[in-house]
Amino acid sequence: MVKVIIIGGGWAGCAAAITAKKAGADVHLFERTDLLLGLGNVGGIMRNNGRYTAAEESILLGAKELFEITDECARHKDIDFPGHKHASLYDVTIIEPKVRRLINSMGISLYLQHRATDVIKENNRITGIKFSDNTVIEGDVFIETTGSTGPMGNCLKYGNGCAMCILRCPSFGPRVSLNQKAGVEDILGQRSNGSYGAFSGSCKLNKESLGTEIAKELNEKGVMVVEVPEADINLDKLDMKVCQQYALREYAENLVLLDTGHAKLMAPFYPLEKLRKIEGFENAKYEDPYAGGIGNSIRYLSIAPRNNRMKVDHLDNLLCAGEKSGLFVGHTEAIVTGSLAGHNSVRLALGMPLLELPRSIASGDLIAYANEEIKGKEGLKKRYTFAGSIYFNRMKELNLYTTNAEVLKSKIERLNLLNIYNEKLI
Amino acid sequence: MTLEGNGCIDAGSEYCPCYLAELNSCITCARLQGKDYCDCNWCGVCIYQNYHFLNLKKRELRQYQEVKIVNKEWLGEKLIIFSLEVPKGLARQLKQPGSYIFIRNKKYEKFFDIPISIMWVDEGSSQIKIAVEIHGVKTKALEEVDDSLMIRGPYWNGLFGIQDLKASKKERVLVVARGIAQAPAILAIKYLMSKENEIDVMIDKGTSAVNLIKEFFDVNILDENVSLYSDEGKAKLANALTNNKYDLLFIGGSDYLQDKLKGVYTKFKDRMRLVSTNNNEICCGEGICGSCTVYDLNGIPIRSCKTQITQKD
Repeated sequence: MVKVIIIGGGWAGCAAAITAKKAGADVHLFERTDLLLGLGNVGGIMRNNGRYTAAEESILLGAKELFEITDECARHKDIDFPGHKHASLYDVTIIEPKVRRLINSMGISLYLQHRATDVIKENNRITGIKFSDNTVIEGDVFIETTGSTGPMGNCLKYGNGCAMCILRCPSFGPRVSLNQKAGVEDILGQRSNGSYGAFSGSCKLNKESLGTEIAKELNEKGVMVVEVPEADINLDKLDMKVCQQYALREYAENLVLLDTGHAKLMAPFYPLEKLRKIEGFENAKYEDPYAGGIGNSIRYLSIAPRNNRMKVDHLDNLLCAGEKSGLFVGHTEAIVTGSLAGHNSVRLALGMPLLELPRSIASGDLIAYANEEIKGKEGLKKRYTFAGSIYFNRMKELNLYTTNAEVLKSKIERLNLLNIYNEKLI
Repeated sequence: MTLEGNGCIDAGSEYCPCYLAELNSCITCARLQGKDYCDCNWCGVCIYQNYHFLNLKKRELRQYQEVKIVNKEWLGEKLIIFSLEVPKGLARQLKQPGSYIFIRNKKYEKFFDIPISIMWVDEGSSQIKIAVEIHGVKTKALEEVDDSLMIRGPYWNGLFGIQDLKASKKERVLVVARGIAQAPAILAIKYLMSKENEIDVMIDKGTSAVNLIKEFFDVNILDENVSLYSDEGKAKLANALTNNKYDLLFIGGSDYLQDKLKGVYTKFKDRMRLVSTNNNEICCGEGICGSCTVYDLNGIPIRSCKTQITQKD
């Protein structure tokens, strides 16, 4: 039996657990907090722009489970908002238990409130992971999906301090970079001015705290655009956020709100006093981060160097996915990379060649392109997402973007990759 | 046996961040060690963030204060029990097992400071008790004192394995203590009793020739005249550990004694946790002077006046 240890229970970790399990491994998923999904508990945007293509690709490759849940939990489907088309917004208030039930039902061993603190290594091979209670869990292959956000010192050094986000470092303890513990140094993303990290791109307002008209419109349409008073327009803020697909002028001149259960405000943070001057926002209150008036979490401070098969460089049996694996933004990107890492963990254990997704599909091209770009100085300042910015442009140029499931199906069939993640390798 | 630093006892307290943060030598925070990435294990509000909230300044240090000697009792020729009246807040802070303060005769300079374990705290009357064994220059300077002492505190790192001790609830504990090390054992026993632990005690009266523990508690004393250095003493300990299902072993005594007894404990380490007294030469208590320094496997210095230490085989 191949024992696969996954550290980090966000979207990437869950996706990796599922494909590793389907390939036949004995899978153990460890999460630092008491919730799966990490930032997925406050996200919600799926299928916008090129993410539609990527979601369909993953489903065709055999990783349909998590997309089924995000689709099932969608409060709104096929909506447009500035710069984005055919988005679907899942309800962040109901999704986590559904994913947890899925993980449990598949026979994946889940360990919540288990914070990894170190690795045990023999030469270039990891033999075990040490946890904060000093226990050591041994395994054959390890997948690091610990993300790149926090802990508090980073959020202070490169941001405005701990904003009390969903990751709850003061309660569950700091994230530890395991590749760094294993002697492989982290890569740090940069902003356009060269400083490190980037703010998370949105904050969430309590919908009930907003005017009834706003709440009504959000519930009905899923999106609402409110003009920002002239004096409060701050274009600089666009520069600091991670989500370059939302770093558009419209987002500085307007408040763009999306209904994800909470009212998702597409700005890294917004001073509460200024916000409350706007009609309908007089009683506004933040839901995430609690201090969304002053700051947000800082991300991209801990990326592992890896190859296009998701294996971390210089280590024999560590794979990575999600934000740990590149300057990626979004749940779809996490699921795409996580699914590949999970599948490859079993191949690695069996001594099989690892799967590399071809560049003729968007998923394969994103993984490879982000890896090429991260090696250059300018590339460290970019973010890579199917949803916008440079990568979506590239998708369109290379004709990788389509919403036609049939086209994708025949392409993936031609590549002989249909349902590859459903193959039991053991 | 190798040593490993296991976190600063002051982290997150009202004395954190301290001088070590200002001087880029924080025990806990990688950033306050001058590194440009986060790599800590501190589960609490970020020390680096607190430091920034304080405008890049340490918190105020523990101050000296003169406290009244309410009672001074000689037990034999070498042992003095002082009862001191201290501020209420300090009494409360000193209830934690492993607490200690510095004391000295106010006639003398600061380098006469002696670290002394807290033996007993009565929060209601705001009194603490300490036991001083007259040994060398600094303790001899206390013989004549009757009215007041200069003290500085609270300090907390008098025991290693404090988290293991605090984890004990409704468990079985064996306390083994020799001589003056009964004093820190008493504070620990009081804490352990408040958590409904069942406690057995084995005492080597040592040179002080007293059983202090029975003055305070009605605990089950297995033996009060054991000679822990002897093979017979070690056999008695091995016997007790074999015949009883203890969850925690407390060893109070010199490092030499601890080494001997830990040899016995090793066989049982998988089924019980260990807490032991910190006997290093503590001088400033603030991680600055270096007198308490011990070294880990890699030769990295550990300031044991503030750092919890785990021993590994």
